[in-house]
Amino acid sequence: MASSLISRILKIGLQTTVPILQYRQILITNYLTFFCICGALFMGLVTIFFKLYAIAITCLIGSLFFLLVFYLNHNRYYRAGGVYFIVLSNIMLLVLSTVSIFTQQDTNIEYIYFPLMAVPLLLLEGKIKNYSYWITFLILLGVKVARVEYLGDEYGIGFLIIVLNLLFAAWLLFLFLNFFKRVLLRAVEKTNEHEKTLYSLLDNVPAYMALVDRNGNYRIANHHYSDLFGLEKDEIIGKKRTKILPDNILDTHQMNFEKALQGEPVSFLERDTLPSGETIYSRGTYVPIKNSNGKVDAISIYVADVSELVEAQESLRRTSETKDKLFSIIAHDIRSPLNLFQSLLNISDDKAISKDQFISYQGELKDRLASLRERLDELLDWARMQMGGINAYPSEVDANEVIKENANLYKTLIEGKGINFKMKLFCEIDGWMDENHLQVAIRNLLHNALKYTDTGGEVLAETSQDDDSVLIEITDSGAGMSQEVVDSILNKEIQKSSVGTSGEVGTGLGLSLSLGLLEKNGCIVALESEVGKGSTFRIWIPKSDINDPVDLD
Amino acid sequence: MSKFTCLIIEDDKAFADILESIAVKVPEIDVIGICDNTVDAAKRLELDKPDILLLDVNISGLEGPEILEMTDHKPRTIVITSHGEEVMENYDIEYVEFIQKPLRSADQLVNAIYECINAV
Repeated sequence: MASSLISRILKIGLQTTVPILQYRQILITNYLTFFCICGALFMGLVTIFFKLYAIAITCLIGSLFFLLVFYLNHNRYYRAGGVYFIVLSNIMLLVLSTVSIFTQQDTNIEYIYFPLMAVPLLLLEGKIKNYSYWITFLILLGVKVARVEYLGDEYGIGFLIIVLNLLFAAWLLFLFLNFFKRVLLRAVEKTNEHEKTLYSLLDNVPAYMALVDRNGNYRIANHHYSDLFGLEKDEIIGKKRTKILPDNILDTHQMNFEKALQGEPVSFLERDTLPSGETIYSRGTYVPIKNSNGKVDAISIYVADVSELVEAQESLRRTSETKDKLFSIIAHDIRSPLNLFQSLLNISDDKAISKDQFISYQGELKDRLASLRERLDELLDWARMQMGGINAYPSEVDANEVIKENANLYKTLIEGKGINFKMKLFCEIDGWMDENHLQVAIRNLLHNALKYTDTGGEVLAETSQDDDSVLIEITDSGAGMSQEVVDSILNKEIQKSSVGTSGEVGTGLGLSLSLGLLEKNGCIVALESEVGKGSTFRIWIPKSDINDPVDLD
Repeated sequence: MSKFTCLIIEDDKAFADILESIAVKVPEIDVIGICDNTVDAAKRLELDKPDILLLDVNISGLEGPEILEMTDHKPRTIVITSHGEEVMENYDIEYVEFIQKPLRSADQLVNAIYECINAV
């Protein structure tokens, strides 16, 4: 209790932010002041006992004046505190010496000036400390002279030797103190250098690092760490964690910190929102640093931004999901016709179905075989594109022709569903792309438009042109899609195949394949859709050079 | 003695036809219908309460066994699917027989139907 009070008194005004030398000087001032107050109080009490009341009163009043040093340091007037201490202690001693001379005591109290001379050398910088040293020495001599004068002694050879001895002692003390101070300063410089080296390492580590003492005050923070909160290093060091960290981070980390204070390292991986609004994935550790008694002195904090890793992991997971989805689609869409064929052949051995019945399946089987083939082609093309094995061989392409051919392909479907299919083919120039790729894309988009449009609905295929490209638009009045689905289509994700309005099926690969092919040919694709109202696909194909008027010059 | 009623849930129309043409040859049962989607299937299950059910797993919408998890009526069920039997671990339904597509023979289905008829 008492010792903690004393240690608090001795640490008055100490800030971790001040340079190490000044830190020490403040500490020394506090120690000296404390010592002077104690000494003065003690002297005061002892002299009362011996009935030397004048000295007692001087001591007691002086101790009150010394309290002002603490006040100055507390309010960070460190220099003023130091100077005040030196002046005050000189005055005190002068008063005491004077009193002792006038009361005719041969106490040689003036020798206390020697340690007092040393104080400015420790507390002050520059020439003033030397002046201050020698002025104090002159006061000492003055007191000596005053004592000889007042006591009526003679200035004999004895006095001269005393003065010379004093001068010699003062000179030696001056040299020693200056020498030691220089050694001390060099050590401090070394420490500063070490700190600089340390920071040049810390600041260049691609991680957020900090050291916090057990009270939660920052002792070290690298610049990545301070940048994280939009602050300078100096604005963090010496401050409390709880004042620097934003609430959202503090909430989750207070427990980590407290656990580390118990002496256990704590690791975490989490998603954080920074004051800048940016979110990162961070992985970090709190490591307790123990002193020789095993008590936790400080906690080192290490945090790395692992957003890229987490994102890479996420993208791997998505890829693997795509693969799973693909396999389940393939499994269902390819197995089901195969199962049908095999089952039918198996049971026909048993004569479970008649020959006539078997023949009646023929039409169905043919259709299924054709669609299975289409599916397989699509799958193989898609797989080849995923492996980068598809090359585009561009040539002049007549978009109008491609649309007409494919519309012809779906004639039965269009008539069967009673869809109002219209073509407005106004483009007069050729596009420049691989014709097969355009065929695949148009077949897919047209099939999709027809597949999701109800009986009696409308599908419109248009072509037009602008300065740089041929534009194809395919619009349907079908089911439409949510923005989420539109985005996933444009990202070339595989779609979960849904059944069309007349039970048409597909692998969901078609769109991904078509968009991939169009992209490979330098086409731009846009998709607009509204649930319940229908969709419009737009494809801009680069125009062929052949369309440019030949320069005759 | 009245016949056992049998419902087929299968979204591949042609495969459902094959199942039906085999099932009708079992004199003890009466095929009351084919459902190619889950909504119909749930409705027919509750209304007609068939004794025997031929059930496909992959149907667009819900999956086949999920319909059975929802309805109160629990017919004796033959699961017919292209998956291996381990797929049934995902569902909480009881079934009498499991047939992996393709059908090996007509008798495979006929025997399974008799298993259902004889199941107490």
